[in-house]
Amino acid sequence: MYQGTIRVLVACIILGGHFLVFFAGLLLGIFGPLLGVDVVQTILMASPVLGVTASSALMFAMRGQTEIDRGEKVTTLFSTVTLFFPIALLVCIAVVFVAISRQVNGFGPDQLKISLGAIETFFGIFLGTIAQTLFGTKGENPSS
Amino acid sequence: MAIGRAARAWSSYLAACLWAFSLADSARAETLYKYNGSDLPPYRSAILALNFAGDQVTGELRPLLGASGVPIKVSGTNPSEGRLELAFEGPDGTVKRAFKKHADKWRIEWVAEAKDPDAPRLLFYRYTDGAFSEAALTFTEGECATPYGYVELIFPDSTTEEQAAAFFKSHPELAALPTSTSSWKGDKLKKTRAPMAISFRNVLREFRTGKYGSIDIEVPVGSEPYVVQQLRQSGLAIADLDQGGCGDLERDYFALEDPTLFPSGSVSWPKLESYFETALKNFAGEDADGKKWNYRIGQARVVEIRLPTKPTSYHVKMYVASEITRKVPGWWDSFALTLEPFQERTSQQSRIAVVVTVERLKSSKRSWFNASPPDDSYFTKEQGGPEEGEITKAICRFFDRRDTR
Repeated sequence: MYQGTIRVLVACIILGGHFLVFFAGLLLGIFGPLLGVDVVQTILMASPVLGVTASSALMFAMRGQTEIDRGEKVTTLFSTVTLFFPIALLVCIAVVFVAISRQVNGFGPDQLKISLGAIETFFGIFLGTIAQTLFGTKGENPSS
Repeated sequence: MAIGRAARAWSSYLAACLWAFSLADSARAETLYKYNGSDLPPYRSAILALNFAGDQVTGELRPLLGASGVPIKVSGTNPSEGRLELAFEGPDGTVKRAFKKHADKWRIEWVAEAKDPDAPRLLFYRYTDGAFSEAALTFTEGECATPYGYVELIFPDSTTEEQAAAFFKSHPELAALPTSTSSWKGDKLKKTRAPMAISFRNVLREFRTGKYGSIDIEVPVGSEPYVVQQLRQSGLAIADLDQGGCGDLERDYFALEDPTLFPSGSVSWPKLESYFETALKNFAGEDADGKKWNYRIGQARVVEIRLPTKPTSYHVKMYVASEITRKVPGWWDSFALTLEPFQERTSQQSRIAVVVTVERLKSSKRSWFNASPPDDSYFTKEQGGPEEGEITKAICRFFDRRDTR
């Protein structure tokens, strides 16, 4: 897999995932058990890491208006790690959202917020590093 | 010797039989009435016991149960149907009054004929659906009196905290009775829970400030007749049920008439528990439109208070659809329900009144992805008194309908 392909895949996962988290949060408020304040808090708590990463991905997408550099071929380990962590973050958030929508015993709105905080903290450092490597800080040219 | 002993034994036995027979006979002939506009202050009611023999009427006006006072002898005639002329031989002389009868399906009432139409109505009455209960013979029955829970106290000048402490020391069952009192702190009504000995001392202090004409203590439902009678006998306070105002009542009650609950003349708690369990499942399982709902009912707890009369209450936590409890769509309601039997105005072998209390109401928004009530961690919206009142009414309505089916 080439650098350009990895960047495009990760950018799509992160941008799409960020939108899905926002949309799922709204759905939890409409059809799920969350009240208005809980919905807002949930979306805000699920956003920081994804948001920062997504803004880098967005800048990358904007820069690639006419052309995205294909780059060099990357190792399997690099491609696995860079794809695994964004997907794992989204899967974790999805599990938490499903749990709250099905009202799993002992997992109320308070536990939801605590879990989201833990997930954000855990994945923050990994996604920060991945975003910087793939997209550069705030969309600057990444090191290739 | 032996013959003499046997003869004495027989004569004592015969005398006892005759005494018991005459007592039973007089008790049979005696009709009890509640008398309002008492000639036996400080209570506004008294018990009028009358014997009708032809057109002659005899009897006495007795104080309410537990109250001190000498009965007043009553005599008179029943000159025609629906008319009574009675003479009350009180300590200040004989007072003669004429009464006219009014009757409906439930109550027979004799009202004194008054020249002044604005004068307070003086009357005595009885119910046709049974003899007065012990509670009815203990309490003044006012139009707006709460029938349970709140004991109203007025303290004579002679009552001291030391006397109260001595009384409660000799009545440990009353001293430990769980009670609560309410007092205004600024514009907020603060409720304080404490054993009766402490509540009594607090209200005595509050009463001595001179701000109140009377003061209330909330006692467990079902304990009121015992508490009031004991306090009256102690002389520490003029005690009665709260005569209150005709405002809202935060609790409500229903009556149960099911002979199977009274196998030996009095209510059977195991049967009543089972009845409550089944009834509450039916209440929680179906709304007014016949739609079935999931629900959850916690482990019930039966609490018996250590008084001679053993007031008992049934406590359970319920999780029910708001469509059933409040007719509001989209929520689950969780609340603590207490059912407390108490004596109504008449005692009947197969009837019991039950006070319903709904507390600690919390709601959880219903999820489309879960058809059962969630656990406590989802009940985050605290509801207030009006919603608890709606659920209380809904439960009372349900039991009333169930009973009349």
